[in-house]
Amino acid sequence: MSELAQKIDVSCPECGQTQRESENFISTVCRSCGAYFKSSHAPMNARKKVKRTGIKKRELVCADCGAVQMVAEEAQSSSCLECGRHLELGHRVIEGEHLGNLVLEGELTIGPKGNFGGSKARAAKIVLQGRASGFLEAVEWLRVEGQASLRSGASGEILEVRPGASLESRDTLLFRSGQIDGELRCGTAQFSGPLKVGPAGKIIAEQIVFSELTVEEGGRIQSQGEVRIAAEPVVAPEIPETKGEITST
Amino acid sequence: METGKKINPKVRAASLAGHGLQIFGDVRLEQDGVIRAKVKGNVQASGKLVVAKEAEISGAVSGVDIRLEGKVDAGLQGRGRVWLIAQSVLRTRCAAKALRIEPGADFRGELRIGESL
Repeated sequence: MSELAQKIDVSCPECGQTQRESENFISTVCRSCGAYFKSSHAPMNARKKVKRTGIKKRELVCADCGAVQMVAEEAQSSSCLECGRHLELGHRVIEGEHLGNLVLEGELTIGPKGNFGGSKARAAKIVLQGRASGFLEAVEWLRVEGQASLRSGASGEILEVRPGASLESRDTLLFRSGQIDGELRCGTAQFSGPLKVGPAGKIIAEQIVFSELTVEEGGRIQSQGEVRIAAEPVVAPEIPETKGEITST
Repeated sequence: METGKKINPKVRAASLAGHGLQIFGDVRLEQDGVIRAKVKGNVQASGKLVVAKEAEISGAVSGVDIRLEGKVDAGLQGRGRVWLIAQSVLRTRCAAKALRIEPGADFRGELRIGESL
């Protein structure tokens, strides 16, 4: 049972009439003269504060003109303020055959039985588990999780081939960096930045181009290779300089 | 033809410091070592090998762990780890169990990594 508020005597500041009110009262009307008055006991900041939480926003870059705008995190679509282009922000999953081009600012998943049959799909993030006949452009990353194949190549920021996954590409792959922990088979793969091959990673290619390469023990590469873009040097582990013996022929 | 003649320690120290030293023929290192000379031939090491930045080797280089800072023309084969340091130059081939090519290194050729060597 809830406790009842105590009653207190209050006097009307206009006519002096006393009446009983709840001890928590904030304001009332004098039952004698009808004057409205506030409680002297009520705290000045007694008004209930309504907490207004700001709408969380995120940065959105127009796929066409590159203009940047802020949109609500939960927004599903927007229009570019510069060029007026419609921007689809949500995620899309392709489980069967998909014909036609796609431009997404969100994540595109091509499922194990999915096939992207358009000429080009562009998304911030692409998870590839199935096939793509068209070209894939992954602004942030392309992650290969299943037994995947590409007919027209792909480009983007990061290429990840997960452990146990494989990617076969008939056309060129162009990425800024790569992390290969599964199997990659392709013609040419170009990485303008670092390429890392994990202990279970394998690359079989006609040519791979990179600015730096790390192959961990267990990782495999069979390819022609070329370093093309120079960057800042980093310190490599030292092999101690020890005594040597030279014999000459 | 291999003479098997051991080099006097003083001479060896000079050759390891090796500015201006040129060796015509193949070189074999029985232990870990550093090559600073210009070698017109192959270099074979039984242990760890450092090809210093002033070294230029026209032939192939083989060893266990190899750190390349200089120049090798005819390929490099490491039975362990291979490092290509910035400013190093390697042509023809690179075979190793594990490999690190730093930014700034210059490599062009065949890559065979992780295969039985």
